[in-house]
Amino acid sequence: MGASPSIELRGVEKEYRRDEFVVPVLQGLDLTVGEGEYLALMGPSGSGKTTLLNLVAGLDVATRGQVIVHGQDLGRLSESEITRWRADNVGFIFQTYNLIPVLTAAENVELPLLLTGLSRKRRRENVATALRVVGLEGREHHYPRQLSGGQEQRVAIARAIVTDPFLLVADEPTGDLDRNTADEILELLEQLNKEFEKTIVMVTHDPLAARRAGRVLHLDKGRLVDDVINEPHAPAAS
Amino acid sequence: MIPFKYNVRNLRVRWKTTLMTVLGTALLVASSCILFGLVEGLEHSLKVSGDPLDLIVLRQGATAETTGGFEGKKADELLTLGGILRDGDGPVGAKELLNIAVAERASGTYNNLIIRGVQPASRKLRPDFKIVAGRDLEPGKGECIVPRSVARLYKGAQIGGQLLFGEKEKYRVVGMFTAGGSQAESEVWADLKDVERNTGRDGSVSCVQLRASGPAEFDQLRKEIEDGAQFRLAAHPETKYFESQSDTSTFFKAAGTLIAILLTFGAMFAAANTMFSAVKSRTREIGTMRALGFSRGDVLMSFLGESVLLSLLGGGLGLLATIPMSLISIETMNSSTFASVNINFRFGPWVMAVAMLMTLVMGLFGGMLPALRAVRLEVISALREL
Repeated sequence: MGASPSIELRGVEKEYRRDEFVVPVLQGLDLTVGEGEYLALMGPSGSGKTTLLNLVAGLDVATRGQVIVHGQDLGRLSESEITRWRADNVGFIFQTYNLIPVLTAAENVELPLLLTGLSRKRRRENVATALRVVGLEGREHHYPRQLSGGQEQRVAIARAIVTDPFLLVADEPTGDLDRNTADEILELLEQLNKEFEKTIVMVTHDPLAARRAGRVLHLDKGRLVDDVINEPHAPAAS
Repeated sequence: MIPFKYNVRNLRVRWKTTLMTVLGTALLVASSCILFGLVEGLEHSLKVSGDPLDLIVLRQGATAETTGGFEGKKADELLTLGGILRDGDGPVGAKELLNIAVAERASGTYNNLIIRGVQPASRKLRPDFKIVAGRDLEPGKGECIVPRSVARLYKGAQIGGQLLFGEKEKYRVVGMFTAGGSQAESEVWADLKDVERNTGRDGSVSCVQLRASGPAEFDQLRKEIEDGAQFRLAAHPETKYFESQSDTSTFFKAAGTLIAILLTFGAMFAAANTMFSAVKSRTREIGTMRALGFSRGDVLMSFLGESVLLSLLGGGLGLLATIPMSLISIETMNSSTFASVNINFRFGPWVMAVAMLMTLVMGLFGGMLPALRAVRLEVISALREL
């Protein structure tokens, strides 16, 4: 898909310590993801897909190797720098939406904008735009508990895109949704990738969700075992 | 910065926990305020807002007016000294005779009351003196005037009534006075001659109160009264005299401070407990905000702010709860004279400042450990929290 590399992983290894044991999670991973690519990460539990997602999103640091995202070697950034980098470059979509329950939809979407220094007026405009993109006009003042699961995930997607980051990371974005709602969310992600040229990295267990992505990586025991380019316009199965 | 409404709304959502903590904090702040309000009231009652040129003359070695008697002749001679301020009525100085007598309360119990035999100039020496009901007493007619607290608490102390002290001593109440909340508001005032006659202490006084005409005269008067062969009395500057009478308040203040510190610690634990549970229940929210790009500092400020807000709500409520206390006066005993002293709670700037300080300390220190726990959370682990 995209020509210039947006994400590059060079010899990436990740280990966790559990008491005196060292648990390898990712082993010798090399990967290049192009700008505007839509990548699905699949694999059994414990295969390292979420760890890979966390590394790419700047939430975790590789034990060895380099993670270069948008030209930035994330391993070289201090904690405060990487926090700032995340705010500027990454939009997060979680399986359980992770909305703040005491804030309205609009206030949830506005959260990342509070780190930008935009005026209140501009923030409101951006929030309205993001909510319109995800099809939630008129729901600005609803609290998460007043929304359906699909609507909550839409709010989370609006929050992820409101700062116009180049990268969206989605961890099982449809894991908590019924099939129809999941398809709507996948439709929306596809739209964000195609119309707004967002690079998307999505972890999923759902083959139907993975089929929406342009490229599917299969991981097993921390290693890349398969790298499949999906046919363009692959039909969404129902 | 994490928006403050996030904290405000969380407090509202967890309203039961919030209410419990707020009420607990309010009680602790109110308790401390009442204690300090009492100390301030006690201190105020021992201060007469008189002139810095006022002197209280007692027998040498006497520690209080009630134990400081000397001959009336000496007192008369003393009031002729040149350095005393004079007005149209003569020297601004008065002989006073104090008697501590047992009086029956309206409740049927008994208590010591000070009856002060005064001269006309006694009023001028207490600038806040004011008749608020009835009229002032007329000399030699067996009349007395009483403060509001005495009128309320003692049998026969209402205007038109008769105050009885034993079989011989009785005074007809003709008026009610105030004296700026000073110690005089715990005394019954009668004419000097009447008190002399009723107590059989003719020719004797407890003290002389006088005002010097200037600072130089003030020093000169003290020297003459204390060193002059004809006097050999103790002339205390009024402010110092009352300072020496405030030992009780010093004790209360020390005890109050200790209790306030202990209460503050108690409230800190309550606030910490609430905030720990807030952090625990919002771990994933914290992880989400950190993932979105909010820094550890943002999280720290957010939870500290919430803790301070919680404490301020409690502190504010505690202060409000103490307002009605300022209308109450309590009767206690002067440890020097064993006589009844009425104290009004006073919630001045000092008490307010202490309450605010307590509240801030509770909020900041109570919130610090939970906020630090929130700050130390690893983003990935926090996001996994259910």
